Amino acid sequence: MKRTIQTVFALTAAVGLLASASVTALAAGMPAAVQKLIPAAVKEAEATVFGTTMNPRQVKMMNAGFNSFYGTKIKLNQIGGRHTRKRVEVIRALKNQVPTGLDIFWTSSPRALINGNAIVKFNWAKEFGLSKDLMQGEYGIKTHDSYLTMVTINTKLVKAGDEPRTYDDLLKPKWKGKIAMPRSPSPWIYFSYAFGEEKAVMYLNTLLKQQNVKKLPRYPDVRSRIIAGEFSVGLGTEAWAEIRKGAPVKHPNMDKVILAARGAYIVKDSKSPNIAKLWGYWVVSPSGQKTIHDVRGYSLINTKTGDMYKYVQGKKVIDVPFDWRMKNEARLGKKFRSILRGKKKKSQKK
Amino acid sequence: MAILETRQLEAKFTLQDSVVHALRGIDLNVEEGEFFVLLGPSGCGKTTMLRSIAGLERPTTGTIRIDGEVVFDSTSGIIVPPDKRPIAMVFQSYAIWPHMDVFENIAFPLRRGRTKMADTDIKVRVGEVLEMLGMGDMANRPVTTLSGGQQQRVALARALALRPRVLLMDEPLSNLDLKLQIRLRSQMRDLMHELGLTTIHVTHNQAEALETGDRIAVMEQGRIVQLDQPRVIYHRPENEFVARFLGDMNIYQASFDGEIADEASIRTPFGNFKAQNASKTSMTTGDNCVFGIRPEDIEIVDDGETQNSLTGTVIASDYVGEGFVHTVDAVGQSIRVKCHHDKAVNKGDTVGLRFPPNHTVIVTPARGLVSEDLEGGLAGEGASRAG
Amino acid sequence: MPARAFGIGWVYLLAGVGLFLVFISVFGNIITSFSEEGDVDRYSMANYVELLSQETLGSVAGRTVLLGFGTVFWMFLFSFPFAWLLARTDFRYRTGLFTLLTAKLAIPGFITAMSYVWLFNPTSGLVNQLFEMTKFNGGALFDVYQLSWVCFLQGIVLVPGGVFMMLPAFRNLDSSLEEAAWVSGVSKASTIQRVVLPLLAPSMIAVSIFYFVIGVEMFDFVAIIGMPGDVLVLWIYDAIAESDGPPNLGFAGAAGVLLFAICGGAIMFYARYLKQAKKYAVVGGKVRASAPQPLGRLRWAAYCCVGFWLMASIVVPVITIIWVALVPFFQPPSIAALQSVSLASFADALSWIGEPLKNTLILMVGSVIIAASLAISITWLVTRSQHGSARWVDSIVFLAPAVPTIVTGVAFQFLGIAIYHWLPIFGTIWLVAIAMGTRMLAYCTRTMNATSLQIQFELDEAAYVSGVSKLDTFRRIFLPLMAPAIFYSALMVGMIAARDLTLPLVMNTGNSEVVSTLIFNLQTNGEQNAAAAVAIYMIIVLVLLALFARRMTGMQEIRGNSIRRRSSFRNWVSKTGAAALSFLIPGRKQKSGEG
Repeated sequence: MKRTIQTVFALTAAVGLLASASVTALAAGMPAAVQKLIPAAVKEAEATVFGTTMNPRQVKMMNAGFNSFYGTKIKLNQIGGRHTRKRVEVIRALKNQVPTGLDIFWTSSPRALINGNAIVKFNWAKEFGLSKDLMQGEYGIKTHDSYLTMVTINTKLVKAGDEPRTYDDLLKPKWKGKIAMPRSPSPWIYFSYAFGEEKAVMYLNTLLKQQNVKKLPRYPDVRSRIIAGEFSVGLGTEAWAEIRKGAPVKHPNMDKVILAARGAYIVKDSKSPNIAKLWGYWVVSPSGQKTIHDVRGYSLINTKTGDMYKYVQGKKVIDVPFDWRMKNEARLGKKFRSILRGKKKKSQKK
Repeated sequence: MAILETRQLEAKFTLQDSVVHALRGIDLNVEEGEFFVLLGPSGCGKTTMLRSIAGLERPTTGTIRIDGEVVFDSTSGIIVPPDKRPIAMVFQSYAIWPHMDVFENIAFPLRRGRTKMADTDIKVRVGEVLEMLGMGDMANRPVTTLSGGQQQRVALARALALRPRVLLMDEPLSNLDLKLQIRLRSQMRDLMHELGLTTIHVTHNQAEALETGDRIAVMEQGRIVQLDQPRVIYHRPENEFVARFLGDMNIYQASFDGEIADEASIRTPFGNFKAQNASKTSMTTGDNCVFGIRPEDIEIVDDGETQNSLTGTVIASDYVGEGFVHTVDAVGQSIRVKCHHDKAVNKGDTVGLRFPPNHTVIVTPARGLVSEDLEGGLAGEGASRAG
Repeated sequence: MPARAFGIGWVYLLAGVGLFLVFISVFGNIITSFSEEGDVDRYSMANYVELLSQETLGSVAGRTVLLGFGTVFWMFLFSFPFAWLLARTDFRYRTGLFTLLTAKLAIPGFITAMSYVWLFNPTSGLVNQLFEMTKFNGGALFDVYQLSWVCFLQGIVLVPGGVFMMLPAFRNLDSSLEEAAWVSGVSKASTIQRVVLPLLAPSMIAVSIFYFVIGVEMFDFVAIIGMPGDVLVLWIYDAIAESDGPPNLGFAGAAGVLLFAICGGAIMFYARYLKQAKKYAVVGGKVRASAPQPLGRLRWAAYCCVGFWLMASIVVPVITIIWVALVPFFQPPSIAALQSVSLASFADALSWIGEPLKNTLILMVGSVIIAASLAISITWLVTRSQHGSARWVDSIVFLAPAVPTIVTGVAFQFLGIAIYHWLPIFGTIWLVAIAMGTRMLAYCTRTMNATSLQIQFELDEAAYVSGVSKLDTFRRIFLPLMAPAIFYSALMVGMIAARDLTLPLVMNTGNSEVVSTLIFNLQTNGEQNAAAAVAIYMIIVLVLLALFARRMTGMQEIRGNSIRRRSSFRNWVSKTGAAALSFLIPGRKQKSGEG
């Protein structure tokens, strides 16, 4: 009996040493500042990231990626939902000292959160030795480039020679009644930066009145209904994940690519700030980039393994700056919502 | 001591755009053990009266006392809810609970009502009351499988089981077939007397009222027009309304000619007659008055020359099973005479009639009455043809 | 003991709680309509200015009203005959029809919407493509992107609700009222027109008005199918849309208030109608079950009607969704497609469904308990407490479904935050259950009111004059007689609570994932087939639950009176059910002999 116990102890010790060795090995490539956070993060044990709706399989992938990167067994909850509503809720909760239950707010538009004092300043670049380009104001770190202005086509319905090459192509008569886009004003904020406000307004009005564009509720609806062949062209969403699955869609080679950054922001009452910081660091690392690419097709355009990297080669890339967005988002959002609601038509159309 | 007293009970309510004055200053005393009947045509206020006593409706002003306790008083604002009054009620629609069986319908108020009895006591009481009404073997029947008469008895059993101080009944027999009505009405009255139960019984059926009541209050348009024993009401109705509502009465105009002892003299179309003055209004010689006599009280005589007699011609004869109703014409007036079938006369015959003075009554004339109320009378009993 | 002494006060209390919750969502909507964009605590009329300056407001509002009427029209076209068939005839497949109606409740609206898009859209709709193959005419035969289609579809999905709401009233109609007409020589048709319909009118009108309110607020069909031109609920959605842009809660509130105004007229009409409705009490102490009327040749019409509805509202969506579950991504049936069929998604779905299913069941049960118990108290208050002023309570409760779901969700989130320190339910499925229960209150009160009005008040009076207290009358007379209405309401609430997406989505936090949000998550990330498989599982579970519930509570008898118990076990179960309900009101049975 005593022998057995001794053996067990010995084995456990050995395994433990081995484990910590591998952890150290893994962590070897990381800055000390990052490594220092790991034990504290392990103690925190769980964190919640709000920003993208993921199905259980995808959540699993996020967890696997994160934990194998750090050698930990931390639980990540990835939840999504309507950002606008959630922002308001978070601000109100904080005001009333009600726990928000969130650690990271993963979004492109932190303006309200900043004004509502809901997120904390953190100098990711300085603390973790990351590129300054990744900083989103004083608060966030850019995790990927968001491309809400992408054009998607159904390869069965659109022949190779017919593909649109510029955004203006979509205003041609042959695309009348064949375009779908989400009801959201967000892409139009970015278009305003890229084309200028006036042109963006005209463009949208033309789509609405002349091209009979179909407004669908959500981005995934646009994707799925293009795949189904109901529409030939989709404006305002990307479909990398679907393309990889073999769906009959592709992104035609447009002359411009308009990008806006999505960032990770640490929520003020985060119970797991260490996990939050580790999360941000991980997402921008090759491991993290691979994971979010596999999960949702996200990537920074500089990440060479991503679909976007290949796509942007040879195209004009317009990056909509953080400060410009913070200044103009509210006004433009309101304006484009109003336009989307429609103007009185002179003649009744079908 | 009166077990039920009301003083100056008034009830007014608005119906659509008009105000209905359902009770106008009702004063009532009901003695313990009485079988008291409220009689009247529909709309006279009897149901309102009953429901006010029950506490289901709230009078506008007045006082109600049950067993010495004030249950309603408009001046001091006392209003005792129905579940706290020592009463029980049988509804016209029976209102038995469709989701309970016979036993439960009776037991539930005992268990949860004013008295909260133990289960064993309940069983005994329910058994007693079912036996009393001849339903001993029906305790577990679902009530929806019962006939009308049986349902009515369940409703009655439920009320009796409570042993209330006052039992209120709202036309409980009106939905039963005639034979059953007749049979049950005397059974009911005998039972109440046996139990010493004070009962207030509302009905529009005057035969029922006459047969069962110890005293009858005849109501009309919110007032009690006559309150007395059945015989008195029947034979000495105070006014034309009461006269016509209970049974049938031939009514004629006359002129008052003085009163000596208990007998009054009147000048009638048929001659000078002697009559009883049932009317409460004071009269002087020369006043116009109204008098009447019931068809069954008129005698057929050979000699047309005695006091209160006349001669006429038979213009119609209707056979009604228990006898005949002849319509006789005399000096242009129509007289209905009811007589036994042995005493048949033929159409066209000349006949002598006599109005016995003690059955000839002077009544207060009616004012603006609705004719249906008066012809109601003996409906359903194979009665006289309406005039 | 004090609880007993409070007596009927418990019912008033529950009714008050119900009112309060409704008030939260109504009030919440109104408050947000004044709040400024972005900043949570500044208020102004800015949103109304924006709303009223929209050029298309007139046509949008007009279209919204048309949508309401159109929806009610189609709903009524089927639910009236169905209720009739179930309650009054000898239609052979009554149980089957009832099961189908229940099954329909389990199918989420967005699934029905998508299936019609796939079949009838002018570009790639399968039905159109099939038709084109016959080369019958040029151009698409069907164009589903029309207001008429949306009205039709919204109408047919609301049929089960309409039937359940009208069923108790139809059942309780005393046959002697019609028989009186027939024996007087009135023809059957005239009797129906002059006697039966007027007696059923209060119920029918209430249901129509109610579904007008529901119809203008439904989101799935107008959003997914889309028509040329918007309706108000889309503007509300847009303002709080899932986007990275700035929030506009205030505008949503303002548009919501406009929706109120549109519904308000209808609701006030109903309130006035309720005043007269009391004279239609027909269930009394002399209940006689009406014999089922033979359909004769009309049964062919019945078969057609039921068959059409079955095809349109169940077969089409279910077949579509099974197909979607089987193929990797949506495509018309073809050899290639058939070769790619696999059951993998069903296996996947099974692994994901555990926790969400648990939450869904909690949500169902919680919503049912809250909605049913509060609603029965409100119904009692409005129809039996003899307070004439209680009618306004009913009108307010009626307003609850007029509040857009999104706004209700937000209002309850804020409530959860505000009361967090006393009751930390914020972020849990329980808060969602309270929000859902509040929305469903009106569904319940509609059904329960109609039934209560048909139960003669004399039954209560008979208890009072026997000395039974109001509370005991409530528990032992009122509740048992209301059992069918309670059951149908609970069934409806349970089904809708289980499958509704909008509310749980709005209130979603990590801990409150339910089956519908799981479906949504899967769809959002391109896993349509797994989403479809989960949906199929959900439908099956819900239908089984509903059938089980019917059996357990003894509501097998669809027509006739529920008082005719067929076996003593069912008797006991029903009594237990009623007793369980009355447990919600404390002050339970006193020991015999006491008091």
